[in-house]
Amino acid sequence: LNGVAVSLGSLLKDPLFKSGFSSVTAGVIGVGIWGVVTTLAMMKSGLSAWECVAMTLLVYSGTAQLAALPLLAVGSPLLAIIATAVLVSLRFVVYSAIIAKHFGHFPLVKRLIIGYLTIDSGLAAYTSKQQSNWNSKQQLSFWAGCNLPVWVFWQVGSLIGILLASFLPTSKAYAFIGLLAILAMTTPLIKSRATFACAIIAATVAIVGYRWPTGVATFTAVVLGVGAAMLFPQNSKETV
Amino acid sequence: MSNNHSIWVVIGLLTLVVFLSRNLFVIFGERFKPKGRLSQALEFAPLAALVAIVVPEFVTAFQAHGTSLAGHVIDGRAFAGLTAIVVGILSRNSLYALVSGTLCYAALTFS
Repeated sequence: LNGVAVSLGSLLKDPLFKSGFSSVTAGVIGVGIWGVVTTLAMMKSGLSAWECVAMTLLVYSGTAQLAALPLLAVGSPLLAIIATAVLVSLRFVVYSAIIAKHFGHFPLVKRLIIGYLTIDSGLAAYTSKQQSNWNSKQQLSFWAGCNLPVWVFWQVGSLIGILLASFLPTSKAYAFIGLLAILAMTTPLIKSRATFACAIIAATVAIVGYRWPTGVATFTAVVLGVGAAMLFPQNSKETV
Repeated sequence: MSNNHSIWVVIGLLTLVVFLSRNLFVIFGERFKPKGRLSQALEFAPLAALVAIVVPEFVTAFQAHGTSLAGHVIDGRAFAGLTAIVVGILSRNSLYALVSGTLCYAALTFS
């Protein structure tokens, strides 16, 4: 345990960790708000505080947690809940391929931990700024800066949500501010013609697929958005 | 919550689904490493997913108010989103985008 504390201490001082952290600063505030909102929603639909803590710690996916709630509330069959979770998690399969590309040379346990702790905003920040000549330690420090603060803020937000649930009425305002945070994080990623095309096509698919099951629309948006970006000539460092 | 299956079974299965999705390719490590154009293409995936997560909220706002300017002013979501996008593009700083969008939303909805 002492060793963990020491390596955590040196990690926090690492300039690459700090640089990763600074690229997700706005994101972690949004993630914290999302944590509050998601847990408020879970508490309001009848889960106990312990069940909320377990969900947040183990599942660690706001979209999967939120998507399961309405189904739980109406007592849907287990298979329907699982199918929905698979659909909203399809984008993680794409992320896992990105993680395999960057961290494939790490030992298995480290890879699995990285896979479990990598989330949308952290991965976007990592891929947009990482350098191909980094060694494993530099990669890990920057990855940790992009992703670990998000995990911490998500858990803290969730605990705040449990505490607030008994005082607050559920308001749509919290959920919307959480969404604004995702939007705020996304906009600066659009910095080339390829990324612009990707965003426009993904948005179009999301509008057309508004009534499709959540995960289907997201997955289609990812496939077609990526396809659109690939129509533009890539020069390796100017992409996302 | 009164269901015929335990909430703990649901939590366990959700954990399994998310963990396996997150690690599907990670498990293979270097033996299954995307290369070339595929690996470039994958870099765009998070951007597309983030866009697809955000957009439905604005579709809901436009379904509620259509082209009624007054409706959008009272609702605040469309203008807050637009503010965040414009500030984000101009400043290239996501914190500025978040703060300006939130202020716009607060000003319109709580006034």
